[in-house]
Amino acid sequence: MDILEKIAGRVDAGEVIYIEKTSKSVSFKGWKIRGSESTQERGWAVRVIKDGRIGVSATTDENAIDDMIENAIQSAKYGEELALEFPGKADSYPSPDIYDSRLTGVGIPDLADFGRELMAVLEKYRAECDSEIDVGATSVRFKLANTSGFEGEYKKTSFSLSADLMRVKGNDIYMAWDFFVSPKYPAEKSEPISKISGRIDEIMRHADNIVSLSSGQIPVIFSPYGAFVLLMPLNMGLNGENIYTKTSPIYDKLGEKLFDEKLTITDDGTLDGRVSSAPFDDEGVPKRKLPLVENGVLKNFLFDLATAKKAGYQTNGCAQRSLFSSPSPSTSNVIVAAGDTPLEDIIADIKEGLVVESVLGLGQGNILSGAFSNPVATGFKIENGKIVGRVKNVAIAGNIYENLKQITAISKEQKWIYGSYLVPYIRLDNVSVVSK
Amino acid sequence: MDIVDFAQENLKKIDGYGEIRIENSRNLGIALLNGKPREVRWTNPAGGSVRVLLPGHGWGFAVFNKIEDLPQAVEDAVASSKLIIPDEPIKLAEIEPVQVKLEQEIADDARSHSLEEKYELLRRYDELAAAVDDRIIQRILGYSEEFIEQYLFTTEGTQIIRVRTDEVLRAVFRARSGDLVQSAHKSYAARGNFAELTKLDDMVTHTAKIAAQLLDAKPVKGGKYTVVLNPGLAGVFIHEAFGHLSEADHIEDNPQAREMMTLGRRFGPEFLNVIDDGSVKPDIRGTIDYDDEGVPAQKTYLIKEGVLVGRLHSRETAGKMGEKPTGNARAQDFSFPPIVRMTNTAIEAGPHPADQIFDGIKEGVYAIDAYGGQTELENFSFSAGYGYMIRDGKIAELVRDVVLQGNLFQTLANIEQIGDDFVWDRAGGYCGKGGQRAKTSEGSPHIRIRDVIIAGV
Repeated sequence: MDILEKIAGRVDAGEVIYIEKTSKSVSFKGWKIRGSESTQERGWAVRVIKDGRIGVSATTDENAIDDMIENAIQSAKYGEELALEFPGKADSYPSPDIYDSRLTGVGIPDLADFGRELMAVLEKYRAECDSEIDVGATSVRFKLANTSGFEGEYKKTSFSLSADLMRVKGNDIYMAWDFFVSPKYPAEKSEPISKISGRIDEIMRHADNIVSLSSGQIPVIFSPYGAFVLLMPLNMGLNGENIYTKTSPIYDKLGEKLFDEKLTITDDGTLDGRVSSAPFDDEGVPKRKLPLVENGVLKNFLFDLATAKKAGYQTNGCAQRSLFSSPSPSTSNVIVAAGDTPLEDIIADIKEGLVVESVLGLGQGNILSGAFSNPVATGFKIENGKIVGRVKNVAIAGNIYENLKQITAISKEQKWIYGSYLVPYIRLDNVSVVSK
Repeated sequence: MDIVDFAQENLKKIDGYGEIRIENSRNLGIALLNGKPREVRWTNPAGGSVRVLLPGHGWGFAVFNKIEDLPQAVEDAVASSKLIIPDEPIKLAEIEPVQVKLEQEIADDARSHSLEEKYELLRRYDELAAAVDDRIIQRILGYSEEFIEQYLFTTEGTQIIRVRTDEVLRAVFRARSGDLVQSAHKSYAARGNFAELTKLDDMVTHTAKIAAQLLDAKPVKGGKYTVVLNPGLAGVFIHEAFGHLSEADHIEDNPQAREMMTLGRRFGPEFLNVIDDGSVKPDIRGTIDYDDEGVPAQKTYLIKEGVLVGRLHSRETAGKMGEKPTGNARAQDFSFPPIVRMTNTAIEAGPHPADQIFDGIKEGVYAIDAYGGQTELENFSFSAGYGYMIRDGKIAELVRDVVLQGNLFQTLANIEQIGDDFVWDRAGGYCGKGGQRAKTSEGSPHIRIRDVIIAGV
């Protein structure tokens, strides 16, 4: 890239990215088509090391590229003192299947059809629910070059379909939603449509059936959707940002057994057919399969170049960035390993328990410490081994660094959530449940 | 090429209602971590979008970065609009077109201060914070400034050219004792006045103190309490728990939700008044003069004397519901279509002397600032930054992990007192909705509410 040529002589090291994005989407609201949108965006960002300090700048204005270069170099004077070494060319890169040329040609009428078909299937809820349906197709081209000799680019596409239903009855508001995303344009419309409608049916089944629940440490099953309550604090605890600053409760516990041995979690950016896969991360480091927790033992944190250097580790390819933000560590595809027990058997012996599907205020509070404390938004009561209805005015609280030390069971069944998380059902018998 | 002429030329190609928005934003962000430079970043998002509504059709929207792509974007937006035939025609409430060039009043232009000066400001604050307590293991000080040139052109003859400036100072402190980590944060937002950011010593040291003190504080015991909310928390509460329900696009298509939000329904006591005002002067974070459809911003009463009297509209929701537009159609930036957003939302001053608001509370909680709030319409959950127990009418010990949960209707009905000490909170936060961020602010006096549920282990 000639931007790289312009900066090479003036800095210790430099890196340029170019991102091009085309997207089309159609939205439906209140059971009607609402609007459609098409976007053509592109921009450049540059990161330089000069006299051992970092400067960054970005622009979407091709007439401002020279300004961008100057700003980056000048701002290095007050930039972080961190002599990053950008990665050179590696021996090999995975080539996950993340591109579908059909998606670049998909038009708004096709997307509209998809949305209409999903809407038709959900029409049975129309009398009681407001709805929002979104369909989209995106194509991205990502290019990166640095002064260590790396130069690479790849193309990625994604198709997404989502539905959000909201049922209002008097003062009671109940929500059901689901989201499908894939790098591929679905061969059959029914594939994403039945996934979404199936999930919504599962939630809506209990809409009118409100039951009461006891307080105390009753068994709690986090469904694959509800498991984010547990995964979010853990994600923060593993993040390189919180490792080098020593603000993560587990920053010094690599190699230690922190959790129940049933827990194995892997980050894998090489999987075919997943939107979070890529040949290399946003700094040019090859994506890989990275064990995070193995049989309860902490195996790896999530690093990018900067956090790794500051923490005294090597980057492990978790850098994610957008045009206007610096790279920071992020997960790609997260796989929580399945257990041996079918869900049916896990709940069979529960006299009274709670299935958590979603909570209010996910991610709020001091989750860095591992703590969670949330009202349950969608939760179901288990009575004598069966789901008997939904609960209201129930809250859960706990701390993953305590609660996950003893996991009663993990199910055989797993689900892909948001296209990037493969999660089973997790039963914990040590969570605090408060019911009013 | 002259932007104005080019845009006007392209508007002519639209056989219906159309808007062209063009923006060029020059932004600077500086961050200091533990006294060392963490980041200096210049960004320059520039581009525009076209939004079209052909008669009898739906909305088409197209975004571009290169100004030369404007004609193509017009074509795409027109084609998009044509594809959609809604069951009911979309009717936009009528407005007067306006031609205006606005300059935000700039008392102290941040651009006239050097990078060095801004960096030194953060270093000075960092030194103050570092001196507060050894247990503070992480100090983040951040400065950001944005200068946005915005153009709005519509086929009805509206032409608005304006400049918007924002400056924000943020402080985040984390303290650690053994395995216990606590944090505190605060921000301050100015509009065209860099000097305001140089006078935040007290804010910075106080925030650092809280982070450290929280290590010694006990978690609040869960239960039902009479709670006094400070203006910061009360403002976030009214924004999150009630403000979003007042956004007409939340409820326009749902007859049951509309019924819940029927004008004339009693929501709270007679001394409760809630407003949204995008015209507050001097400018604060949510002040906009005109929204992104060219509708003048205004003070809208949402609750007056305890009764629901108004809601917030875009031209479309106003047209649909037969009400007047209120100037609340806002887009995060050129790459998004406008949707109904709040601006500056507040509980107005009440009749109760704020210095007596704790009187008679045997055991209660004084909850301060908000670290996050979420609502699923009627239900809300808020993490307060921190709190103090109230014992026998006096502020007592510091407590942490104060999470307020409840039902909006019950909570508003349980308001006992609204203080006379109204302030606009100057935090530099964002409101998130529909994947878009909006710069908003909140205001309130102290308020006292009975029977509030505080979550606890």
